[in-house]
Amino acid sequence: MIQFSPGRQARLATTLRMLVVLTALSVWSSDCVGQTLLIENGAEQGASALIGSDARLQLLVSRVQPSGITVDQTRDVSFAASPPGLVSIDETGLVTPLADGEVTVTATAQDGQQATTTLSVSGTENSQSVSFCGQVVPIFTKLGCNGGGCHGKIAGQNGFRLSLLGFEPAEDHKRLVAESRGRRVSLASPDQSLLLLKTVNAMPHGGGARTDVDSYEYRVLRRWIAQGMPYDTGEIVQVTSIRAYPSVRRMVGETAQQLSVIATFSDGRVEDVTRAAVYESNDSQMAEVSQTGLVQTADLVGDVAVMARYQGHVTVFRAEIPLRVDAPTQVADNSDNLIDRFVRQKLDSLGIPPSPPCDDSTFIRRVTLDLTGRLPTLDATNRFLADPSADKRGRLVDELLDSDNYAAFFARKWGVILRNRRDGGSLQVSNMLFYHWLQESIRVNKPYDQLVGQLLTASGTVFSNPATSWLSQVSDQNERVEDISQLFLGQRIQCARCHHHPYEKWSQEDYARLSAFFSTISKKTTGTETTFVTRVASPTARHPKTGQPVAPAGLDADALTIDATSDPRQGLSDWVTSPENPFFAKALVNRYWKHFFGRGMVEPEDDMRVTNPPSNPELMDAMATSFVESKYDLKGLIRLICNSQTYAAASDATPENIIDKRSYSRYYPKRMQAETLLDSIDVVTGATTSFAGMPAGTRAVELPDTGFNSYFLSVFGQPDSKTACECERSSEANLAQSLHLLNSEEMQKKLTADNGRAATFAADTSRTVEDKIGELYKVAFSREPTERELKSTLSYLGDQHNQREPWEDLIWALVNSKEFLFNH
Amino acid sequence: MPPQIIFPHRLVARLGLLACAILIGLPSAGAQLPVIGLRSLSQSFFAPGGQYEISIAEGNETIEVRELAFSHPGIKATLLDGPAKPFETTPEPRYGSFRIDVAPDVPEGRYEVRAIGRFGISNPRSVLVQNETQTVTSAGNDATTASPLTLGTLHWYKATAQKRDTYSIPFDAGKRYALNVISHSIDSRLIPAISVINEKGQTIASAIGSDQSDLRFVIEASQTGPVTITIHDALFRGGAAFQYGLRLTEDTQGQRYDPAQLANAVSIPEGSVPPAGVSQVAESDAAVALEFPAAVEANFDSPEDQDQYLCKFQKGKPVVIEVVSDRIGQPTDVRLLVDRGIDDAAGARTWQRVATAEDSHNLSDSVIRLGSGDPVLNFQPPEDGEYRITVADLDTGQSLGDVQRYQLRITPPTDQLQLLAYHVYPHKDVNATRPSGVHLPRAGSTTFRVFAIRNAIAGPIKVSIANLPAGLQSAPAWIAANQNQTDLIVTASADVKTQWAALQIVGEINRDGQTITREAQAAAVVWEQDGYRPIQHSRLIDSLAISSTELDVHPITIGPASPDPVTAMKGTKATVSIKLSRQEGANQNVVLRAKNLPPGVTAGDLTIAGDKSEADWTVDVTGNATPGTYTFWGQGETKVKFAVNPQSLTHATKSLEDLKALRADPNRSQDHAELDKAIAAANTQLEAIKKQTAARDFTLYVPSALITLVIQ
Repeated sequence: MIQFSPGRQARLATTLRMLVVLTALSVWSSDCVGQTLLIENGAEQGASALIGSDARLQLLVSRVQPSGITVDQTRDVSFAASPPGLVSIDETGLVTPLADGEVTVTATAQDGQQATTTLSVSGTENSQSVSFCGQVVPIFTKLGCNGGGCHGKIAGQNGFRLSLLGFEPAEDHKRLVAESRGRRVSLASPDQSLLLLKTVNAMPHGGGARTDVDSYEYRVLRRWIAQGMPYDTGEIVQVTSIRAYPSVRRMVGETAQQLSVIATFSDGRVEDVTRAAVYESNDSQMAEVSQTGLVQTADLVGDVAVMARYQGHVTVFRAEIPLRVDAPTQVADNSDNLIDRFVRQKLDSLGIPPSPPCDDSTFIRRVTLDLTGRLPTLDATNRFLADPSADKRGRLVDELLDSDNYAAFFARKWGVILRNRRDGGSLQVSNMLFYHWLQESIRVNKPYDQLVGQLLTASGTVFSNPATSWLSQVSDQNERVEDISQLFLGQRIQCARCHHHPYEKWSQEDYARLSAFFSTISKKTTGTETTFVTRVASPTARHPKTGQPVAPAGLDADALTIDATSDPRQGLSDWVTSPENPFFAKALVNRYWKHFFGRGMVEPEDDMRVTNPPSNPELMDAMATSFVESKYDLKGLIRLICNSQTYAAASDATPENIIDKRSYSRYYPKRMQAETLLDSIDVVTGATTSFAGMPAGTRAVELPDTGFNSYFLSVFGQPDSKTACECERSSEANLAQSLHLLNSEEMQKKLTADNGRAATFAADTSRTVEDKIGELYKVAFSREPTERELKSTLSYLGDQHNQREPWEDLIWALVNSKEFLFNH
Repeated sequence: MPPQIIFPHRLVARLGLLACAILIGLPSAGAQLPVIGLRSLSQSFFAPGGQYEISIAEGNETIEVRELAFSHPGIKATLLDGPAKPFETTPEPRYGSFRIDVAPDVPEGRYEVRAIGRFGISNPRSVLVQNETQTVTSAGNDATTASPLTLGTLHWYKATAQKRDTYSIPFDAGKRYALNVISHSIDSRLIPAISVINEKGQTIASAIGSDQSDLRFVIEASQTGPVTITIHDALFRGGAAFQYGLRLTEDTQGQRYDPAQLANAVSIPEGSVPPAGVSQVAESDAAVALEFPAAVEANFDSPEDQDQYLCKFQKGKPVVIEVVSDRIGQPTDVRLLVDRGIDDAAGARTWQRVATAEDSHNLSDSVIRLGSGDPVLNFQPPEDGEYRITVADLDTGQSLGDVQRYQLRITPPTDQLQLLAYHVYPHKDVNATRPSGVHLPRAGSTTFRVFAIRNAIAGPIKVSIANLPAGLQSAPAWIAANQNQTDLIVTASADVKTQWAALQIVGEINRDGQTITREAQAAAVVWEQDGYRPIQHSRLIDSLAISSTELDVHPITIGPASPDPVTAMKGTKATVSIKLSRQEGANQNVVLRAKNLPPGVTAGDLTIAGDKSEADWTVDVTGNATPGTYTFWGQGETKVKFAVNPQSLTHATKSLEDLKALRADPNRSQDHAELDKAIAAANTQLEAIKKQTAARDFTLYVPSALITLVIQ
């Protein structure tokens, strides 16, 4: 039996974990004596130079514990500089230059341990000009001025517009200096500049005070105005990369870690930009991050990623917060199944024990629902439960993969995100052909790279090449680019259509180059058939800024030279499906992982960014490699998943793993999706649902498109296929769903159908009541009723078991139970 | 059987349904006077030597169908008799029901049939004559009720809406089987969807065909045992118009029916194959050397397959490089690339692109779509030397077959004229076009459109009808040198007889003092547009046909007051005097819209008031017009009152009178009870016929006689 509200277990787990943490911290207090104190950045990271009076450097002091945990000591030490007067260091470890020279910084811990590093200071004597691009614009970003919710939005805010996140500094400069009759900046009286007055809220400002007059940012802005608001001249130095230090760290819950962000510039300079960078946690419940880059973990267990962004570049710090810091990492599981190996490694690292394996009843129901979108048949359940052989689960997986139901279910899954939609009306050939093409591709286990390649390069009529239906459905070139990126690469590049992606490196030029692959597609009508072909033309797209034509290129890939008579989409297909493509295999692995486990290693499953790392990167890498090595064998990937102990784990949480949300210590229950739920209710009630134009007996998971009018499917979150996003499918519960299941005419009709199960049971005097109850439980839950359930059920039916109504009530109760509604 | 209780609300619903059915059955307020349209026979598959009873299953205005005309004389239809009317001895004809006798010597193949009834001769429908043909009486709906198949036998049936038909047959492991679904060849609307399922209920092969060709696919059996074959329309439609033939054979080599028979082969010029014939070319990675003139046949073996050929051409000697593939029913869309070989001083060869070609001969208007995706390149070699010809298929799909066939022909320019003609459905909205016959009442008129494929032949083409039956007239029309199509108008005389005949449209062109005459191929709309197909479906047919009737008079005729040509200079306006002949019921305004005007000539819509029968129509011959002789016409739109088939009222009245006469006969007193019953029934029928034959409103689209315009 599944437990969904194990409050007592949760409390136990929290108490246990607190004890463990307290123990760990006390161990640290006594053990830390003698452990080496270390200043981790500065010279260690090649960023030891402070050039100019505006330079800043964040020190990072740490100490490694016997448990392997490295603890941040930055705010627990005292700093001293020698010779004095060259730099000042505050209690957070922020170094600011005062005078030129070499300086040795010493950090002293409470136990007297010391660590030193050497910094060089230069350029403090000369008044340096403020770089608009390198200093002013990052301040706008840091203070949130050019964000999408403020002046960075397309229409600006209250008449003042900045480019989103400062990707267009020249335009920003023009708007600041030239627009609004020059009132925004005043050379004669810098402090009276609107820019500064609004920034500190000295004049009414919708965004309130973004900083104060004593701040570093205010000083820099003021100095820039006083210098005459220059725009950078000559070759503008660009940031080429940034990195966070540390990049990964195991941390104890409710502790802190200071980050240091180092930028490398196009002139070779390496600089600490910790205070200029912008930070964001991908799970604010797990950890929060301050504007200064201080990460504070919560009292939870798991992973968290903190993104740092500076000048259009992003980097990530990953923290792992284990349940047990005192327990050494255990030897990883030696399972042949790589999923089990990497999941166990992760769980060991976090100190979380996995749940035990699920029983056979749970497994057959779970895997049948996940692979075919239907409940196991009574016969299949009986055979499986009676089968004593050790390999029966693997054989069941194979059997299901060979079934037409698997092909139909996954064709439906793909059809929905490939936008095989219909706006009501009669059935359409293009929908039917596309669905059939998907179904056949899945049935014959067409390698995934071939399937995608055929879709990307589809030419011809819908009859000869049903994959062209996708071109009909997604007729806009931009949407084609965005769909294929999201679907097959897990990259959401929609942002880059209009501006640089805020959380990724994708620029408008990257978008245009990808778009160029689709630039020669042409639709023509020959005879009565509409045909998609490639025109004889050089594939190009217009650079959004320069207007110059750009050649097609994959993301992060070199531009291609393609003959005017060739189909450029072949080049796209070759790049997308290449084993070297860093996105392709991972995107599919993550999509399928989410299908089976209910939560992707990356969430959302089609938003795979550097700034949104997987919960188990090693597992992601290993599975992607395995998928490529299998030559993109989809059934092979599913076998790998379904035959793993991870997949076969019970969904019941243990006191120690109940806190786990993303490390797969157990199977996370998931509500049946709309179509599956409707079919399952039909199976249990013995009723049928009819869909306009389709033969009687057609199941909801077999519907070729999303154009069928069904309130049930709508209310339970069937997507409309208007986008390529899986997020269109809602798995959330709401009141309308509950009411529909509990008390709707549709449900009532199913329960009271003349040829339904209740009517049949009531009329059948040849079987015992116990037998019928057993069948009902097996059909609904794939298990026998417990003794208590049987007793209470028999009691309810009483001597009315030959009447329909009590059976209808019983079935109603079963299909409204969580055990029924969830795959667990 | 106990009496059924029908609840009031159900009764209302059923009555509503009944009312709908009745409305559907009634002739609608038409856009033309009633003309027969044949949609489907009850059976489209026959065997040589066979005898069958069939009927008209679906059609428009199919009353009193008394004859079926097959395109092969060995297939004969005899109208079946029904029971005699009460108190008569002569059997009543069962209009629309026939006994079909197929002579044993009728060769296997596709033939056409037309129905002839009260409202003329219908459009053609295809039937198939094939040995070992078997009617399926009932196809199952699942594996347990599957109908058994016999290897090599053609089983025919019709799809049922929202059902899958199920068949069973044993497979032997290792054997290859060919599955043929014949639907397109018999003008079925079926888009076949077929699956082969093994004993475990697993699909082992599945395909969806198209409505552009019959479906055929080959499957290799991996296991011995029974398989279930399911077939249905891809859109789960059904009915008599969704017939199919299913044939399973071990013959995986040949195709039983030549796809060219129905394909868009109209623009394949005769004699474009060199005397040496067509040679087969094996798949090769290397370019194949050809000697001009050449014709080779090869395959596209994979979506990426591109074949290359080398051929030497001479500067100043044009050649035609042509691919024939789409036009013989292959699902291809071929692109031709021609590169010239250039050798540098060191003898290194590079290729320079000199020409590309894709689609050709767009034989299309808004209705007939017989354009071809086959490229035809009239190529002028820029230099003497070797040229590389690349043949690539832009249609990368394999759902209609893994391998596609094509012929590459490299020949001198041909100078053959080709013509194609079809009957234009009389409506101002081309989307209303549907399969329909051609039927002229007295003084009625209709339009035939003629396309020309000139194949490098310039000059005006005179188009006429060679074998018009008595009582029908048609003035010649002109396809001027700068045109590729024209329209012919056929008009029935006031004393035309009831008759039908095949039509032969010919074109004549003067070339070097010689008159070249060509007969037009015929085409027709097979299916109207519907919810899934936005364009009418048309195809080549065996011949055009026309019928006339002496029973009806067309309410209005339109034409120029004088048959003489109208002459106009470029940049001037000409006036055409229009004359109308109105019958009773035709007293509404007529709006005349110009059709087939030559380039550079315009004419505004002309409204002729209901009380007028003459008007002047101004034609603006702009300075852009090209001198020459042209023909154009006007389509007149008007509303009329017209009584449909009043003769049926006469017949019904006479039957009633005959019965009444019997009732009055004192010698028949013993029959009074039955006579009273018969009279009551005849009365009821008469009242119904009165309603049906009462004059109703029709919106007519009437073609005027041709107007000849000479531009100077």
